[in-house]
Amino acid sequence: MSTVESKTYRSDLKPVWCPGCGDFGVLNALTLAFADLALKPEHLSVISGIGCSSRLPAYIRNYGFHAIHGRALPVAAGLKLARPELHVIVTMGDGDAYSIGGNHFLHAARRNLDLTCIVMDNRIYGMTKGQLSPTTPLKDRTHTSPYGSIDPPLHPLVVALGAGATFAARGFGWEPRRLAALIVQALAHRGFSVVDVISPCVVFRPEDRTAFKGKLTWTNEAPETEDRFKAMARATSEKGLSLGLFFQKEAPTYEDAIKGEMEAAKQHPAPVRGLDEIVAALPGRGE
Amino acid sequence: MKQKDFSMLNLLELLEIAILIEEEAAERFGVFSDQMAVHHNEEAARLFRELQAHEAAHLARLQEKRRRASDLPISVKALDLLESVEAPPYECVHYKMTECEIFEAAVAAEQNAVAFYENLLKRLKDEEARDLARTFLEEEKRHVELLENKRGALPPCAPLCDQDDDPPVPHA
Ligand SMILES: Cc1ncc(C[n+]2csc(CCOP(=O)(O)OP(=O)(O)O)c2C)c(N)n1
Repeated sequence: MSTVESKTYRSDLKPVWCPGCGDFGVLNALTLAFADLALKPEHLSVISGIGCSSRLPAYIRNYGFHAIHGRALPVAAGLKLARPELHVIVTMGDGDAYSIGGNHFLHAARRNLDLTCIVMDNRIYGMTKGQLSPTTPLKDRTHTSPYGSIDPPLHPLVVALGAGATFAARGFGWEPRRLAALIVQALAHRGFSVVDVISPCVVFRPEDRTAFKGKLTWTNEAPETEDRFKAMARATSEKGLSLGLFFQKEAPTYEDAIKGEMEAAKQHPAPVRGLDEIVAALPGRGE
Repeated sequence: MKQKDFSMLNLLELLEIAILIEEEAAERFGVFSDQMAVHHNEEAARLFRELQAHEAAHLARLQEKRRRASDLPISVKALDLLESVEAPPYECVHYKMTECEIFEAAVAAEQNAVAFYENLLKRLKDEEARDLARTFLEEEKRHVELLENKRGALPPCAPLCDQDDDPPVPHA
C-alpha cells in the first residue's frame, strides 16, 4: 500500500484546521491505517462530537456522524450494537472525551465496547478559543485560568486503564507514520481501544510548537505486560513522555454479552403483560 | 511498529522506498498549499503548489523507473517507512507564511533526505542498491543546492510575530 492509496479515503473537503495543527497528522495517520488494512470505506464509520478535532469525519470518504459535544461515544455504541460488522472509530478532543464526555468514556471502557477511540489531545479547548481542558498542565494560563490552572490534569491512559479499556496507547500527531502503525493495531484489536494522541494546538498553546522536541520516546512495539497496573506505571513514570502501546488484553466484548442476553431472552421470554391487564391493575380500576 | 531493517534492501525495494518518500513529500506540499488557500494566503498557496508539482515530477520519474525495472508487484508497504523523510513537518507552517520561510522549510526537507541516504549508505549491503542510493543522494544534494540558491536570492525571513496582527500568546 502507498500514501497514494490512502488518499482514496479522503473526501474533497479541505480541512479548516489552523496550519501547524496536529490534527492534520491524525487525519493522515488514520487514512494510512485504513489503507494498510485495505478496509472498505463502506465498512468504516467515524463518529465524533464537537470541537476542532471532531470535524475529522467530514474529511473522510466513508460513513460518519458529527454528533453533539461529549456524546460521540453513546452514538458510536448504538451504531456498533446495530451494525456489529462495521469498524466504528470515534474521534474526539480531550474536552469531548475526558470532560463533558468523561462519563461516557468510563462506561464504554468498562463495558469493553468494540470501538476504536482516537482522542486528539491538544490540552486545551481549541474550537471555543482556549479554555483549560482536563489535560491542561497545572499552573498553565489559559483564558479560563488567567492566574494559572489550579486543577491537576488527569492522565488519560490511567483513567482508560482504570475503567477497563483493553487497549491503551499514546501517539503523536506530528509523527503520522508511527501513529498510523499504532492505529493499525488499535483497529485490529477487538474491544475498547484508546489511542490518546498528543495533537498540538499551535494557536492557543503556541508554546507546544516546540514543547515536545526531544521529550518524546517511542516504546517497544508490543506491550510487555497484560497487567494493567504495571501498564499505568509505564505510561506515567518513564522519563519524558513515552509513546507506543502500553496495554492490550483480549476480553469478551459488550457485543458478545448482548448476544448472550438476547439468546437467553429468546429461550426464557420474560412474561409480558397486555395493556388491558396493566390498566386493570391501576389503583381504583379493578374495583 | 518496528522500523523495517533497511540495510537488507535490494534494488527494487530501495526504489519503492524512494517512491514512498517522494509521494509523501508531494502530498505534504499539497496539504500545505490547501492550508494556505483556506487561510487566504494565496501567495504561499501558489508556492507550495509549485513545490508539490516539483516533487510530483520526481515521483513520476521514479515510478516510471520502477515500471521499467520489473513486472513484479510492489513489495514494500507504506508503513514499512515509519518516519517521514522528505515531507516537511506539519509544525513548520503558520498561516502567514512567507516565501522565504517556505524555501527554508523546503531546504530543510531536502536536507533531511540527504541525511537519510547518507545514513542508509553506511548500512546498505546490496551493491546494486548502493549504486542506486548514491544516485538518489546526489539528486537530493542538487535539490538542496537549487532551493538554497532560490532562498539566498530573497531577503532574510521576518520573525513570525512581526507578521502576525494577532499573535498567539504563550500561556505557560
Ligand atoms: C453541550 C455543549 N457544551 C459546550 C459546547 C461548546 N463547545 C464546543 S467545542 C468545545 C470544546 C472543544 O474542546 P475539545 O473537545 O478538546 O476539542 P478541540 O476543539 O480542542 O479539538 C466546547 C466547550 C457545545 N458545543 N455543546
